[in-house]
Amino acid sequence: MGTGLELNDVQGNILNGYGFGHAVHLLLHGETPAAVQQCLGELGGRVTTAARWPEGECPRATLNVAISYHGFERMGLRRPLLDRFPEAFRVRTRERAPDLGDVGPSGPEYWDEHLGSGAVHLVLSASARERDDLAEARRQLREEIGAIPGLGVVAEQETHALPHRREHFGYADGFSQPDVEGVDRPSSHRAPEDSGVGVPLPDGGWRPVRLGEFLLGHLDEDGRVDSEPDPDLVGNGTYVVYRKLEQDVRLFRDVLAEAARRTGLPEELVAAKVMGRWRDGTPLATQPARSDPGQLDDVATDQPGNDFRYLPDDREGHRCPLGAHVRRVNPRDALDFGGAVRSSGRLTARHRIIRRGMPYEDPPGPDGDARRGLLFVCYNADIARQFETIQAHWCNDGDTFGLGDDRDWFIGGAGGSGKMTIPTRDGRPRFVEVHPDLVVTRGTEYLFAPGMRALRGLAEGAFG
Amino acid sequence: MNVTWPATPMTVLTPVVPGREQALRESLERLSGLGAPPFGRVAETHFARWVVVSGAPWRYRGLPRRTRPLRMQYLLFTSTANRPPEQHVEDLRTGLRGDADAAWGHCVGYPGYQQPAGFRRYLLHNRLPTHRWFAAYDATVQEVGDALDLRRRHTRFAVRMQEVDDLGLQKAFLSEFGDAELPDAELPDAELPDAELPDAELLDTELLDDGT
Ligand code: HEM
Repeated sequence: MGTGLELNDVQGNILNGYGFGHAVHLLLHGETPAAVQQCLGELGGRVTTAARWPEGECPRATLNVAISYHGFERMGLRRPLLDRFPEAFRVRTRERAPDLGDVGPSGPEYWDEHLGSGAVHLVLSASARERDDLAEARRQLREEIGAIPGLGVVAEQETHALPHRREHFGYADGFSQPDVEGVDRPSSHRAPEDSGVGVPLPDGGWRPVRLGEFLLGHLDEDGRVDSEPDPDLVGNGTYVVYRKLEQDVRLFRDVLAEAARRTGLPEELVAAKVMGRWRDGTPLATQPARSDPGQLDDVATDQPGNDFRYLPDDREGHRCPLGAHVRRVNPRDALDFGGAVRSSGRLTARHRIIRRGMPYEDPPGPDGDARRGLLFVCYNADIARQFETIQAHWCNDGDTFGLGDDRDWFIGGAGGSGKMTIPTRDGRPRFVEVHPDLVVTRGTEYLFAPGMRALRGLAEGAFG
Repeated sequence: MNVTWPATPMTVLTPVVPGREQALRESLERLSGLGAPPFGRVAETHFARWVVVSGAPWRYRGLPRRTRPLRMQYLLFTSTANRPPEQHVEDLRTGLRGDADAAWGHCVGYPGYQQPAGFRRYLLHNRLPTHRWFAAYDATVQEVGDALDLRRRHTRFAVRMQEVDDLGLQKAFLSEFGDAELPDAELPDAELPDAELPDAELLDTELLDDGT
């Protein structure tokens, strides 16, 4: 392998999203190697691939599967293979929690019991356009799982899209995704070379990110092919970060109002400054001011812009603050160290992720409050270099951007309060407080979504 | 003892008693799982770590697979502290106590922390020369901690004081941070009615004159 993309060997939803608004994740525990293998054997044939659906043949429901390190262990994978998985994948996420800022209210002692404990071996994910179809897919899956001796469901997580692609704080979400080499984007998107979602080139153009950043067994941005621990096992597969992030919507409204009062800026502008996009998705980079920001609540712009860079015009962050969420998590061309690095986009290209999260709302707890948030799901070839770097170094800290101890306003509250800076043209920067309770982690699982051939091999015990 | 001693590196390499490698690994794992890291109890220490050097058939991506394992495994200790080496060794002994034994206790010839002279001899004897070394800044652990505290205070102050006008900001700043250089009594604010001096001028002249 190394070149060429066989879409029918890659699981679906990774390279292109299904665009379905309802999904359920079944978190499974297997008592024996046979239980896990039997599950892969019986369901493996139904797993949805990345192959294009023929015109008019969109399935009612999709099915995908991902395996945790403990799942591989339970399946009886050979020890030398297990040992050569990357450390981030092998260690329980509960143990990695402090490094990711999951402390205080985000600490593992408050996580959903089963998450990150090693109890989850497989995650089956079904999604559908219609709620009824999802319910049917779920019922059928549960029946099949129930018939496999030694296999049990430890938890279920439903997620449902909100109207106009909003997440719970009211921002349109989920449209800036990396443009990936060799992957056709749906025709609704503009041509990849000018869409601003790949790698910014010094000449002003863009190119797609190398496939190896998202699928193992392919050339990555460093010109290498990662096939550890075994090309047949990991080729065309990807690592999955499954992270349950609870959002406190009431607190969000309060702290936004408070920030507007303290900074003297309109509330909707503060909301845009901390995110880097207006709530309807329009980027601050292309539209730094608005005459009527009051109308942003109900619709997402049809095609939120992505074709922008931060340099040279916005080096100071007067349009989009250096510490705004979208500028931190994808700095595009901005990491040029004051002009010292010409092809600055290449650095960012090593830290991209494909996001497929969806909002969730769990039934009310004992206090009667429904718990809601974002079930953040992302795909990457190297969890430590991609997802964890973004979270730990780019969001929980400001050094990379010359921002000292400033944090990401949404997800950087680790270990106490801090601030975020909004630079302004009138010379006086404004400061907003970062609240550790705004978004709290309720658990993390690191998984691997193998290619289709590897799934068959696993079901047959080929790597034991 | 001199706490402003320049930051000094220390590297100690000790062979692991054959057969005890796994016990050492488990022991280190337990130490890093504890709430407060044991090295936090060692005076004036910036960084410290133990690493098991195994030469196992471990592969680093991009490097060829190593075929010949080491004959023995080693425990590598490295640290940076604002102490002369002998003093740092004594600080390790009195700071780590039983935790020192939990790690070096698996190494050949280690006498235990309760033997001051033996402990000192053991670490200094197994010390490796450091040929090249770099410290990014010249500050003691105390100074680094104080600077971080000051930054946190500034952050809280900056967020809280945004609505305040310039004069109020000056006053609040001086009362929060200016105690040493500019005692409250010298503040000129009582004689300066808001309207008479433009803000910029006030900041240029009065604050700088008084503060220096
Ligand atoms: C509850 C928590 C979160 C909320 C409410 C949130 C919200 C958003 C929104 C509204 C956008 C802009 C829309 C878009 O580009 O699709 C965005 C973009 C993005 N977010 Fe988040 N996000 C959250 C957590 C995270 C986490 C944990 C990460 C990764 C560590 C992350 C990484 C990204 C990335 C990579 C982008 C795309 C930026 C770009 O390409 O310009 N987000 N997020």
